[in-house]
Amino acid sequence: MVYGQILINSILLGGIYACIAVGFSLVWGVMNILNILHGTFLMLGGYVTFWMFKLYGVDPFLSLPLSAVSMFFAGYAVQRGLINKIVRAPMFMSLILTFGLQLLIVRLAIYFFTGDFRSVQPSYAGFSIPFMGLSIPFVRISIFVLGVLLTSILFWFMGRTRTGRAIRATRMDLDSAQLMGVDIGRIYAITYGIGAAAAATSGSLVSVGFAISPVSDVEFLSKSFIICTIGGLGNITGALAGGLILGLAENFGALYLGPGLQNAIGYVLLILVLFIKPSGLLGRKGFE
Amino acid sequence: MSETLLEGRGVTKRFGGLTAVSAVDFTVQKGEILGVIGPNGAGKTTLLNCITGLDPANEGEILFRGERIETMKPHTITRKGVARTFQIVQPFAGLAVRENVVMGALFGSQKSKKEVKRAQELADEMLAFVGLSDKSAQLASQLTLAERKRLEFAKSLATEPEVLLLDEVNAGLNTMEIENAISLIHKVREQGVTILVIEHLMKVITDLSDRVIVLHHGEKIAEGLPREVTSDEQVIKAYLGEKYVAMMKKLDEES
Amino acid sequence: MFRPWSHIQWLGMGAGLLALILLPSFVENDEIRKWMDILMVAILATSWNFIGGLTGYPSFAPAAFFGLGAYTTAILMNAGFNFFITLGIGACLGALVALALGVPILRLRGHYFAIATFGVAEFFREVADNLRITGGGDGINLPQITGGPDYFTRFFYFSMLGVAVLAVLTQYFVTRHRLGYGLVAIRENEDAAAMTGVDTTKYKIIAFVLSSIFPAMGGGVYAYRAAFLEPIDVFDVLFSIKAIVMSMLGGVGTVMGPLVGALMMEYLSDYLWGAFTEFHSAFLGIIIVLVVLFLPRGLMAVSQEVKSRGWGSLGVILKSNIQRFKV
Repeated sequence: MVYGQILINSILLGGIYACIAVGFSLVWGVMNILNILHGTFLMLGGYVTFWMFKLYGVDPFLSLPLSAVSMFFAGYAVQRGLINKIVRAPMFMSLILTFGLQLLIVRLAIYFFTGDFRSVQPSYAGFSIPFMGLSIPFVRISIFVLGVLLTSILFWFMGRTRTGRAIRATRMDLDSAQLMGVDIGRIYAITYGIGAAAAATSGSLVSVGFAISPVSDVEFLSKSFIICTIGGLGNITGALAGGLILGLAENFGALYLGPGLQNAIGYVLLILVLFIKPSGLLGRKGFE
Repeated sequence: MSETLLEGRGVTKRFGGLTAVSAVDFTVQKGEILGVIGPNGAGKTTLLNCITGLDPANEGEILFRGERIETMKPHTITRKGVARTFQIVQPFAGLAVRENVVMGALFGSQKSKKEVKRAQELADEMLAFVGLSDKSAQLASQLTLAERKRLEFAKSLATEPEVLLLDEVNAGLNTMEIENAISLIHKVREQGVTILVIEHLMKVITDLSDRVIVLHHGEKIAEGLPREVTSDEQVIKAYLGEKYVAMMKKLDEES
Repeated sequence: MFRPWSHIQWLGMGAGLLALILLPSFVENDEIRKWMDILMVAILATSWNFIGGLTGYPSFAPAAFFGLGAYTTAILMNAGFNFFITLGIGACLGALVALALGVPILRLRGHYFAIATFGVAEFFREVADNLRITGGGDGINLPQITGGPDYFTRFFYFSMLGVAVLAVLTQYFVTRHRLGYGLVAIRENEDAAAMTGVDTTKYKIIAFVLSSIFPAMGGGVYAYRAAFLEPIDVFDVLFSIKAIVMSMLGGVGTVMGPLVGALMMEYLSDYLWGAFTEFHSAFLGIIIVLVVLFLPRGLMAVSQEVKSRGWGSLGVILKSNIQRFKV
């Protein structure tokens, strides 16, 4: 019974993990940017939902689009105005640049939002659905379903739409894409915006089921690192598998080793995977 | 009597299901220029990668001066005296031309653990040899393609090799530059360096080589003097296709 | 690439060192502490330069080794060891850990290497948070140093200075010898380096080990001075970031670059924004963004260009810097 409940919890957690990581995977895969701001967009998205609920009583699931759209434009601006300037520099320059922005934004967020942990508590927060003797928290299953749904939409977009194809073409060969008339600067900005929107969406979801503070961005960022490394870059199955594996490892690890080491397990997993198969368990070889 | 310097026995390299080099035997005699020709995708560069340890062979033996080297790491093989150039030139782009060559002199030779200063002198000699002295302070990335190919030469020569493996030194060069490159290769040979050269231009290889082996789909299909090889029917087929050979036969019969 | 320092350069370095030695005789304890911080980040930046600047492997491990050294000193001093001996043991431990980790980690390239080193630092922090010997999340106390503030401020200052001088001298000699050339060859083109005869695996590991020793020692001095350690303080990724950004600010891959960067950044941020300590990290963020955009090759490179083209061209140089890598 205990195992069944842990299994359910792991799957629910894995789904949200996949949703957290998918935007990070996209930006890394297409532009070879290790986007330190990913966790920051996630955190800001969570705050959009939190404040909409707190100030205007808007249901968290209804403010999702607002959170996604606002962070899309923020991400678009960051890429267009700053990151595009150094896209061709050695790869760790973009890493450092996004780190600088992260320091700035998080500091401002602490100033404006305080460092307290916040959580959206709608009236239905405590509901659970009984299922074969186990209990499934309503909020978590909703987050899970929405997360997986939105991730699927993103991949439909990448595969089926004109913009999506341009993004994939750019990923495969930057110079050829440019020759084919793709406006790289714009495509990069859109890609980054989508990554930010995906982060914000998962942030909104997280703010309901879990809790956020300005400094929780690093935690989500690390999770994204780990998930992308485990699952490999740029495919939905990779993100889902990575999320699921991490969810299982964390929950069962906490059971056997104690909750204190729950986070350490992720890093051990990360380092192990990097040693065994650097391109991820399911990944093809992406950018180095 | 000539002495075998480099030898391959049944060298095989697979990439997944594709066999890029299949049971190839070859020998390189001391002091000769051996040409390796074959159409694109014949496995020429893969063979070089096997010899230099960059992409170790799956099967077979490679011997340098009688010592098996097929499992050694690239840098060890280089230090034993096997140097190479790359088809797509691989300079240290952010460094000056002279420093590129210094690297070869510092690390390539096993004969002496060199001081930086001695390596710089050797580098200057090599730059003079290939005719790049006046560019020695420029960044490698600022050179023209032909100059970069000469830089590759200088860099490999600075490792003081006994065998130099040249991978398509002429690709992308114009007629003038090709002539220069060929005379440079002859000059290197006169220094006592044995050369294995990969080419897909028949004309160049026949002018250059003492002996030729022909690869096709990873297999050795012919070996011999340049003139023999170029009139070999199988070779012509590989290069020009079945149809061409059939057409030529038909023409022969008609006349 | 690396020319041996001329007599004038040696003289300049000597004068600088002398000034640092004499500094405590002329200034207040507060000022000495400030310089101690500058020396600490100079140690981190110089050490990062071995692996990140010379070899081109962007390591986020400085925090890991800094924390390792700090905890080594804390635990051993509590067990009655002499402070300086704990520094030595910390350095050896750092080197051993770097050696053990380096073998697998240095096979990775690019972002994967960056993430792995980041993961190592975070993993150490999680472990320190959970072990009994480190005091866990509650932290650990060290023996208090005896003597008045005048004495111990100088004691720590000179300890830090000693480590810094060791780090800088090591870097100087590495860059002027075969080793330094080999590392740069790896940075410029690893395959070509191997084909030129550089034992890339060995050299990368040496660089990683070198980059671990001095942060571990610096961490030891930091620990004794702080007298209290928490995992989140010493395994802070900011130590790694500072090391990287200061190297970049000064100029990656040179001996002077990290020193200049550390001096500029700490001194400026202290003087300009000392009043807003709360916003220190925000200013650091702004500096990082500006450095990446306008000084991607560092102050040293810009100053050289200014020297040859005159001050009037500064605007052009900065503008060309920002145009250099755009899409």
